Amino acid sequence: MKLVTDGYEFDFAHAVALYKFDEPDKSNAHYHGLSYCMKAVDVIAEFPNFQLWIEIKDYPQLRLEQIRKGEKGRSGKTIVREIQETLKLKFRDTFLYRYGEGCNKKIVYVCLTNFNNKECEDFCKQLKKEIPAGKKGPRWSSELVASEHCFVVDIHAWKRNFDSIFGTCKRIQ
Amino acid sequence: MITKFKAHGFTVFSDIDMSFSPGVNVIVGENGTGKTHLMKAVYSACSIIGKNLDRTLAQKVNAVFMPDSIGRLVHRTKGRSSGEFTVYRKKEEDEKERSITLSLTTLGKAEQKSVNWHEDTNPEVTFIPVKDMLANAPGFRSLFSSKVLPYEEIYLDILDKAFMPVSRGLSKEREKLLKHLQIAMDGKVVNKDEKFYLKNKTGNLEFPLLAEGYRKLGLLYLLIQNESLIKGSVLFWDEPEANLNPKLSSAVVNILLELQRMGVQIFITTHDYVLLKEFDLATTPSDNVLYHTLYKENDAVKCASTSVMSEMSPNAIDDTFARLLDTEIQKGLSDL
Repeated sequence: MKLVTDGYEFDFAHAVALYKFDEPDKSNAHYHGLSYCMKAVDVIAEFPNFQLWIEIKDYPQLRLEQIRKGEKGRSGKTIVREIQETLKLKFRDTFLYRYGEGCNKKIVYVCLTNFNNKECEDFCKQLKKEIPAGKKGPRWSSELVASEHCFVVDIHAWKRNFDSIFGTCKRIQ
Repeated sequence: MITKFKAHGFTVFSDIDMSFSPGVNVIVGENGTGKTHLMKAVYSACSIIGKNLDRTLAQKVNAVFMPDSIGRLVHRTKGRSSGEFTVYRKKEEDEKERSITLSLTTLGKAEQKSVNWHEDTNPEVTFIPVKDMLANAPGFRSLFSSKVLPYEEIYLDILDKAFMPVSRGLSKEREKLLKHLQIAMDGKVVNKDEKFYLKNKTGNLEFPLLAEGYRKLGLLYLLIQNESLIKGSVLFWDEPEANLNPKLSSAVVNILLELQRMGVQIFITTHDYVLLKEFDLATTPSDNVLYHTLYKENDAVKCASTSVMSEMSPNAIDDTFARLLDTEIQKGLSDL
């Protein structure tokens, strides 16, 4: 199955479904009609035993430099903090969608970005706290997503680690 | 100002040609790619600038590298061979290029050729080695002058610099830098009877009792205070991050950038991501910072230079983080 979106081409031979979550075309089977009030990750891929959620966050060089320098965004918080808060909300709303759809397959979450390796590691650590990943409330029966299934990678790390498991990912811009 | 370094058949360098920034030069590379050799060669050449110096480059190189014989510095190949390196410099006020070349053979023959190299007065040139020497300073210099010790001459040289008396009438910029260092290490450095102390409101603390990271800042304090680091001087610092808590990296980087703005040319080697990142964050558009990556390709050491830290490639430090990231990912994927 192939999907081209946000400057990337995904080719997942073993997926049972692969689609852009916020499908704008009302006639498409994956159109959900709730984009006006809910956020969502960019891509969903379903495999027999798990579902893969992909968030695409590529930044132009100037924006990357602003992020690296710890510059503040419109809210007065650092840009990186703003991104983490957006990703947190997109994750949680996607969780609600999928709950509503009755999908209870194990979640694997990947944020595909163009940070360097150290930045990916630092960003992932903070994002896991925000979601929260690997933690459940005292009255919850399960966590939202396992901490070890939450990844932040660039295209090179994807190729090294995910090509053989999920399928290939190519930058097309 | 050092402008270029070329080497052919010298230590790890089979053939290399590097150009430098007049400001800060950050040299990165895996172990064994010649970062320290490069700095020692350029430092040796700078140390013999001057009309009245009778020391040859071969003598200085021998004392700084300490090989069994100077012919051992020729790049290793089968059979007899030869090698050389050349250092180029310019003065700010004229465009005339000065250069010095040291040619060596495996049989130990050394030949020096220079073009306008000795025309100028000796500039201030400082090499800060990885290991701290201030704590071992008492008696070291007299011992070094009378006995054969297994120490490279850079250790003696740095103590000579550290013991230079305090300069009169420090500029405001220098006082500001000293103030930053005082805050970072909570005191100032004093010297009594060849012993160094950190002096603060609780009294004098002997340098051997002080954390090695603070001793490094202490050395920087002395070099700024005695004007070893002035406009036109050259500072070589081998792995500033060694024994330095990452929290102090920001102070070190800001001081190095400030020295660069004052006209000091700086060469540092590093294996540390935090130090690189601090440079990336603290650099302003008017600063001159060049990142040099030394890497091996087909057994030859090569160099790639860029003024943008994120464009360093290959980057041994980022490669290490890639390996760590991959290990963590693979651990997470094992149950899918």
